[in-house]
Parts: sequence; C-alpha cells; structure tokens
Amino acid sequence: MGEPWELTLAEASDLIRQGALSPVDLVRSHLDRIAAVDPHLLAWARTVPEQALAEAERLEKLLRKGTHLGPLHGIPVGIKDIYYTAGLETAGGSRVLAGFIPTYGATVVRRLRAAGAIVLGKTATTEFAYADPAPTRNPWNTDHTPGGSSSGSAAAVAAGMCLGAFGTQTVGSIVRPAAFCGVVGLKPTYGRVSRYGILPLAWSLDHPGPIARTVRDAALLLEAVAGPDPNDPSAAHRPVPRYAEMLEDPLGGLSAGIPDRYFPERASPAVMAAFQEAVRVIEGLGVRIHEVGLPACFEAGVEAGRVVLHAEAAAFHRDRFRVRRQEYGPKLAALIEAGLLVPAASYLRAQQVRSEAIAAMRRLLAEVNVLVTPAAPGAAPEGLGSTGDPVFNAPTSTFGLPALGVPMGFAPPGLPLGLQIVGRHFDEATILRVGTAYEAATPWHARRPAL
Amino acid sequence: MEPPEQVRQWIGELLGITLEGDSTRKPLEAWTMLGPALAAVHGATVAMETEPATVLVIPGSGGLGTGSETTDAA
Repeated sequence: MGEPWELTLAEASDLIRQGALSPVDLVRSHLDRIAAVDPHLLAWARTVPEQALAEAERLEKLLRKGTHLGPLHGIPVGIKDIYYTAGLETAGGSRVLAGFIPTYGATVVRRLRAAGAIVLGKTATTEFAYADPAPTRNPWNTDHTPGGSSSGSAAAVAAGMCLGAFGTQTVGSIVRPAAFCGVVGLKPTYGRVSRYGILPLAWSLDHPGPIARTVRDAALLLEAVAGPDPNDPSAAHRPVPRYAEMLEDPLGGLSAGIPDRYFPERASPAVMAAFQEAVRVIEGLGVRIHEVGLPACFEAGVEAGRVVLHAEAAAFHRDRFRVRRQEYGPKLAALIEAGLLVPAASYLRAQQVRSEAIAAMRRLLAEVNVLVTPAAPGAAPEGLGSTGDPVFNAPTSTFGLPALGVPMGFAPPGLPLGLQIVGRHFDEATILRVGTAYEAATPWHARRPAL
Repeated sequence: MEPPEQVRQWIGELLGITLEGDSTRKPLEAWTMLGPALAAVHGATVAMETEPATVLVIPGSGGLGTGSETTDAA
C-alpha cells in the first residue's frame, strides 16, 4: 500500500472495517496532502483539521468498542461551500455571506456525519454556484479551469485531498468539473437527494450529488445521503436501492441510445474520437447501441431551463441584491438583473415547456435504458476566467434525469475527457452499473495528476 | 438563434426594453442572456396550442419525475 490518501474510498473503507487502517491515520494523511498540494490548487475555501482529527479519534474509539457505522466510517470528505455546516462558515463563495455560520447542517451533511464520514472542510465554489469563478486550478494543468461550480470538490478529489466530495449541479456543475478533473461525478435524479440546507441557485434545477474517484465510491456516497426528507418536500418518497450491491450485475439486455443531434455537432474532434471509442467499449460489454432521435421539443426545453434559472436565481437574491449590489460578481449580477425582468407568465410558460420536454424524454427513455453522450464539448479550457461550457449537462439538469460522468480518456496535451451516462428518472442503479463496467474495461480512472 | 422580428418586439416589450438604439448595458445584456431562451419558450408554447393540454407541474413541488406531468384531457 502507498500513502493512505492514494486509496479509493471503497479500499479505505474495507481496510478500516478490517482494522487495518486507522481513521486518524487516514485523516492525517489527507491533511498532509492538503498542506502539500492545496497551495497550488486552492480547492478548499477552509479546512477544519482539529475538528476532523477529533472526529477521527471519536470514530476510532467506536471501532475499538466494536461499533462500525458502515462503509463511510472514518472516510474524509469535502463539502461544497454552499452546504450549510453547523458551526462552520458557509460563505457560498461570496462576499455577501462571508462570515456566515449556520446553526444547523444540510440534510446531506447530517447524513454523512451520521454515517461516519469526516468533514475535512468546505470546498471552493463559484459565487453562489453560478459562474463567477473560484480561484481553484485544475490539478492536471494549473493554467486550466477545473470547471465549476463544484470546482473545489472536483479538484480536491482528483488531487487526493479527500476520498469523496459533494457538489451541486443546476446546469452543469457536477458532471462537467468531474470530467475536466478526470474523476467520477454523479448528478442524481431531481428529488433523489434532499436540498434542505443548501443555498439555492435555482431551486427547481438544483441537484446535490457526489464526486469521487470511482463509480463504486460515488455509489457509496449516494446511498448514504439519498431518500426522503421531511424538511424538503421535493425529496421523493422512493426507496433507495443498495447501489453498491448492484454494481456488477450483468449488462446483458440493456440498451443505450446515442443522440443523433445536439451533442455531435458541438463536440470537438478529440472528444468525438474518444466518445466513439467509448461507445465501442460499451457495446463490447453487451449493451445494444442505437442511434436515437431526440424529441422535437428538446432544445426548447433546455432554453426553458435557462428562463427558469434566471427567474429563480433573481427571486432568491432579489432583496439582498438591492442593498448589496456592489458585493456581487459581474456574472451573477447580470443573471439577477436579467432574471428580475422575467414576467411571472413567462416563468410559468417556461415551466410548462419544460414539463412537456420532460415527458418527451421519459418516452424516449422508455425505448432505451440509458443515453450516452460526451460529458463536455472539450477538455478544460485554458484560463481561470470561465469554468467552461455546460451545454452537454444542461439537458439532464433541466429534465431532472440522473447523469453519471466517468473518465473517458485524455486530449492533448494531457487533459481528461469525460463520458456522460444518462438514465431514467430514479434509475441511478442502471447508470452506475454501466459506469462500473465501463470503468473496469478502461484505464482512465486509475490515472492521477502529477503534483 | 435569432428570433423573428415580431417575437423580438414582443420579448422586448416583455422585458420592458427597446431593442433598437438602446445603448444601456443592462437591457442589451438581458436581451443577450434571455432573448433567445424566451423566444424558444414562446415558439414552443405556440406549438403546444395545437397539442393536448399540458398540466403545469412546478418541479420542486415533489412532482418531477414521479408522476404524469401531462394529460390528454382537453
């Protein structure tokens, strides 16, 4: 075994359960790693080393007494800085909320802690999870963006600073940064994970979800936090499968649809070459491949999501924005200003168009089990002024469909590319199964950035 | 996407802005950010006039992906 921070979450979990790895040693290893590499990457808004070590000691004592809380027992994680954390500053990557210390934690954070996970700190985010970038740099090339808005979560996992992290996706903020950083990102179905205690960007589009090094790790993190929540009426009353037990179920009988438009014409040649190879791999795993026609209302549905994003973001920020306009970044300010102009009738019409598109996508996904697309049009762009184009992720966010991003190769000069696997509503199990098999058949997830 | 002139004017009215000769940053930025999206929504809702009625479900109220968002009822 190398350093503990080099393990996957599942590997560390097994070693802790067997008594072969101490949670204290695991946390120390990650804190050392943060001290060594984060000055170059700026993935963390703040860390809490003393609290993390104290929690690791408490969890170690529990183990000595014979109490094992489950697969996340002793696992160090990062939490995007828009999740409320009781007693720990939650600034949302903003000046407006600097110094804000919540008195309670988000449901996701409370469930993680209850499952034995150890919060190392808060990961950097774009301002209020929109587009004004965090200072975070891409671990594969620090001249490039790590993507966003879950910039710090993706970079921290890719650089071995935690074994898993949580982000949110309103347009493209989990799957895209995961692709740019060469890690796994899982945006669950809307309603699969509670949004309680998470600063909204646009509440009908916001999806919390995990970022991890492997599909199995992401499945373990999802399993710990998913499910209904009395504090969030949009959290669905659906049973949560034991995802980790289903990951290696055979893929025979599954079918995958390859969209005939929207994605191919926007993807770079390097992305399309890697994507075509990925499709061949998936076909070789026993999945039937079909080209599928996207519904006629697909693009209108995506545009409707843009109207919804503007209006809901403006609604959330309106009162604070009026008195503290100068403390907002330019991109978020423009979003709010434009959103304040959207009439209620247009917002409602946009939701109606969106509902039509969701219904059409449900009909399409009745024909195939999953859709497969590239996760982004290209690799991470150079520069830190933009977090890249979320155009390939906006549809799944707008339609509430679960999407899994897995590493798909590299583009010159060595930046990661991602594959996006999209499933039926609440069928995260199938995209995780396909992702697991694809991951096992390819070498990409095992590569690490040289830091 | 550049929407037809009639739709441009309609959206301009909707946003409370004039689209020609308007030199202030805010209306032009709002048009750039929202004009094509509103035009697409407008076009889709016009098309829906000839389709079976849609029951509006606001995602976030627990409905998304969990039940039928549409009905054939007129």
